[in-house]
Amino acid sequence: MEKRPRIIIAICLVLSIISIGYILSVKGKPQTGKTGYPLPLAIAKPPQEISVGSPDGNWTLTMKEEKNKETISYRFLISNNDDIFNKEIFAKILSSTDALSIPANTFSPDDKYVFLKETGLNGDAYFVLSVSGESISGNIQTLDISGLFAAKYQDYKITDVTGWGGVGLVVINTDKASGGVGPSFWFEVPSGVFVKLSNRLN
Amino acid sequence: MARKKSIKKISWLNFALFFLAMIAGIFILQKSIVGATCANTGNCKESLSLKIENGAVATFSGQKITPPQIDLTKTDESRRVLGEAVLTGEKRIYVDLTTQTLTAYQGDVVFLQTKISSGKWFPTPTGEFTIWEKIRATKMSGGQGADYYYLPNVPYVMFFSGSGVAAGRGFSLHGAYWHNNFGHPMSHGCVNMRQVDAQKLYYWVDPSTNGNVTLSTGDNPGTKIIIYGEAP
Repeated sequence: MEKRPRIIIAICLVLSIISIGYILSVKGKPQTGKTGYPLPLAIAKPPQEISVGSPDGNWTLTMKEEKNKETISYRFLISNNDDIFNKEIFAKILSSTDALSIPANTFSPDDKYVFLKETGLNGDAYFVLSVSGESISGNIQTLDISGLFAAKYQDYKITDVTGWGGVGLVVINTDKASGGVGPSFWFEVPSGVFVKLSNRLN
Repeated sequence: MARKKSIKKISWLNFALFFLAMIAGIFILQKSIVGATCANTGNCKESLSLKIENGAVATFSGQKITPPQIDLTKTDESRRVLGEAVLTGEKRIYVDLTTQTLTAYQGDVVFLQTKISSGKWFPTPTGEFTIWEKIRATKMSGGQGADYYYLPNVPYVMFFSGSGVAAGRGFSLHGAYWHNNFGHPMSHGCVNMRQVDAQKLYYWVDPSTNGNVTLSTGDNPGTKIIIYGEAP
């Protein structure tokens, strides 16, 4: 009769030690997913804002960027100085490997258009939007400079889109596909016509 | 007799030398003042005076542009605000042509740093200059064919001279409403700035603004501008 409780107590003790040890070991380990790699901790990042003003100081283009798990949401808002006009003119969700940005010379001299830059694994892309948020021409909401250029000129590749050389003239610098510095081009908005320049606009 | 003859010869030689020097002097003067290439116009003096043309249409790169409307009766809001700013020390402006950047200092404090557009079709001169005149707005024109430009209401013009560049040649810092490609050469010799930056600089630089046309004087001297580097 005396031996039985002792054995029970001993078994309970051993089981308790094993349980405590297991619990402690699980708590100390990082949580793993199916892949066996540590799962990233989900930290909610506040939306980031970047604003660029028009050269005459009348308008501001603001980019709001919100990073999610695997994507980034971008919203572009246009506002005037008096804050009377405030409108979202463009929104896009990209994978976290890609990014959108506002170039410094984004506004056309007449404040009618802006251009944006998209950086991705396949290179940079540039496109033009209307400041009013309306279509540029017909049903065209954005003019994809890079796509249109690549379709027309296989001998050159765009290295930079620097700004506006005139009211509706986007400045494009290129390299030759075969190597070496290429010419500069105007991209005429809204007609979508490219004009090869005799002078390079460095 | 022989001595008299040699004195006559010498005086004729002196006269001839004096005459040649006069011709050479006139030629150099004509080249440096009258015949010198202007920063903008065929007639250098055109852009040196106040000229407002509201309603006129501008032309640049073969495109028509509506210039900003200028109301001389209105006070610039920023002028009042800037007047309240307390900065001390000597004012200096540095224009780096290589990076196409303008930096304005008062003492050791940076008042303004911004991208500019220097000369593309005609080089911006380098050296040490002084602002000799400020004009609220003027007209600039020149070029030929596809390069023709006609730009009324060019805002916030700050003319500079020095380093062998005569005041009458019309080189200046000014606002540019016809392009937005700052950071890259785009001008005919002047230093183009965003309108907001030109306005800020205009009311900061000396000679301190006194009406719509301000000339530097001994009591109200102009700010120094140092232009250096090589445009890309």
